[in-house]
Amino acid sequence: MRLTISFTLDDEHDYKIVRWLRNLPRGEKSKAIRDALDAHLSGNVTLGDVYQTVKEIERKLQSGAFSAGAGLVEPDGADDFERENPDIMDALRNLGK
Amino acid sequence: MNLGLDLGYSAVKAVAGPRRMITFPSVVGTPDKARFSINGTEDNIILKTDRGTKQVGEGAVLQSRFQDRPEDRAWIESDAYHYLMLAAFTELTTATSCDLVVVSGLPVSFYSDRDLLRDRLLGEHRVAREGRRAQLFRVTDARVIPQPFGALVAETLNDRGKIVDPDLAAGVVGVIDVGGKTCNLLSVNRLTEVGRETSSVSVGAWDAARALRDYLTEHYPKLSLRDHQINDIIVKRQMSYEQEPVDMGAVVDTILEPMADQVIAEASQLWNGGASLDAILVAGGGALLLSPFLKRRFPRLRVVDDPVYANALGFWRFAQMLT
Repeated sequence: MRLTISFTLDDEHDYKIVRWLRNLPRGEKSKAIRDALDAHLSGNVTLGDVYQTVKEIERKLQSGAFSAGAGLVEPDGADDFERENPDIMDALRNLGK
Repeated sequence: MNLGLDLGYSAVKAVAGPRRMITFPSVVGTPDKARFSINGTEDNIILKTDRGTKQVGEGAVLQSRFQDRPEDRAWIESDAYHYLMLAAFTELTTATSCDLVVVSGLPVSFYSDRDLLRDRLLGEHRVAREGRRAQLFRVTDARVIPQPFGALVAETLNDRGKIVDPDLAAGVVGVIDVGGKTCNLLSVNRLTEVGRETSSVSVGAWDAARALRDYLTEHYPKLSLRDHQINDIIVKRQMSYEQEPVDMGAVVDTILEPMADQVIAEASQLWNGGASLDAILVAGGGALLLSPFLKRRFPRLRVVDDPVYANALGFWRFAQMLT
């Protein structure tokens, strides 16, 4: 039997979901939602989850967020960089002026 | 609220936070509506202003009898541009009154129009979106930067507007921004544009879509496909015809390769082969399509995270840094 179930979203809090739903091709929303719920209920790790995690690690490695013997650190060398490179920061702040 | 606004010829992308990103087709049309709708009309953007009532985005593509699609430089002075801007604002917030700091971009070849665009963005904008209370947006500050700078800034700054990639910030970087109708090439040294190494090429992702549509019309006359279906074929390199799968890889390559060759020729000439660049970034809606071909010439090239939204995200992060 075919069931139709409605649910509510907040356009600000649930923005990621709203965006995802809006970008789905017409006629394919229900299948995509079923697949996502099924993956969640099965506790499956999706290829999308793995990809997101790999991209996050790659980005943090590139930004020097990991250091030997330490855990995750915020790239707060940003303040040092800004102090040591006033020309770059001026160029950035004046962009489009 | 800080807002990054990337108003492209083919699509509008806007960002107001790490989880607040929207996009819709850059189409403005008459406010015609379907008489019957199974899915409801909550996705339709119908805006009423003192200039009239218009439908924007996907609703305009599907339902408007008359549509306005941007094609030229004077577009930023048009009513259509104004409606697209307002549609982006209303997509990002339902607040009835909202102060905004907006950062937007222009193609590098039109960058001299930045004051014109800045003046259009600044000030009060009133709009009533169908199904909502009227909204007032006050743009208190606006910056207009070269479009591909957005992607570079997105890679260089974090969501708090802090430098997270000092190498990119201090390096010599080439950015290839493959948009819907133009491809911008930007060279930056220590976050300052190198003017003589910056240019644009009149090719974009929509040229590929148009070429494929022409091919399909000639070889598969029974097919009638919408724009997003054409784009799907380009991305998946496959389609279905009379319930049989058809490999479109060779056709897609035949379309994309000459486009990529044009970009490679211009970039090679501008950047003298690219050997002196510390990094080459590719962004824009056509980044994933052209990058395999561009990599043959520039092996160190990399596609930025979320290339479609990269410029808008960079604009927003830039606004975060300024405020």
